[in-house]
Amino acid sequence: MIAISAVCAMIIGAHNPPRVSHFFAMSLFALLVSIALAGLTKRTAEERTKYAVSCFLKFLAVAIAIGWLMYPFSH
Amino acid sequence: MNNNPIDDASEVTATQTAVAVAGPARRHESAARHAVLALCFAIAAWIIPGLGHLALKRWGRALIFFACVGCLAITGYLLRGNVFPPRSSDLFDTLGFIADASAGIFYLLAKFFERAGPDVSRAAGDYGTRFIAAAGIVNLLSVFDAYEIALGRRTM
Repeated sequence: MIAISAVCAMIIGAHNPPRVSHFFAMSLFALLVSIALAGLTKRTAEERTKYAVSCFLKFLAVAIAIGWLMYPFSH
Repeated sequence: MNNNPIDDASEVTATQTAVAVAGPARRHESAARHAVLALCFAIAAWIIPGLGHLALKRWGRALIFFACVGCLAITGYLLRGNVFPPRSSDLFDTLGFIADASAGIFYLLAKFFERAGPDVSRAAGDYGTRFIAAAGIVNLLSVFDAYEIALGRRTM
């Protein structure tokens, strides 16, 4: 993944930031942090997978809920 | 050979006394050596994410931390997030620097990936700043984890 990112950086030239949606950036962040937390707190691969999936879904659910809570303030 | 039971008894007592005196000192020395070794693992984990766990033969964790910290940091640089410099007068900038520098070698790669510098005028740049800081914080967690494992406080 790091190699792919490095190649992407060289292709893009790091001048133009890739256009990413808010949801994609948030999902990527949630996914990577969930995997790191699962690796830190759980021991077996099965436990880690379950924890990472659960943590990722909770990240998304909370972010979407907070997004909707803030929706009235944007109008 | 000593056949005198009184002399034998005195030898045993002397040995026991020597062990009793040297025991705590040796234990203290061993604990100090252990703490220094644990600190070395922690420093290794900080410089290259996952290296501390790799040295402790925790392959899975080493791979997870290296991949996650690397992806978070590089994605942050690609999104042209703000990388905080070492010297700043603002406390929040200093905290930002501590978070960023915790990513170890990936902090030093910032100039390679972010040749055009940060651009926080767009939302992507702001996201990038969070990604870079998160990379450092995740690596900081891995440093503490490696330290605890090396000290034997964490068995898992």
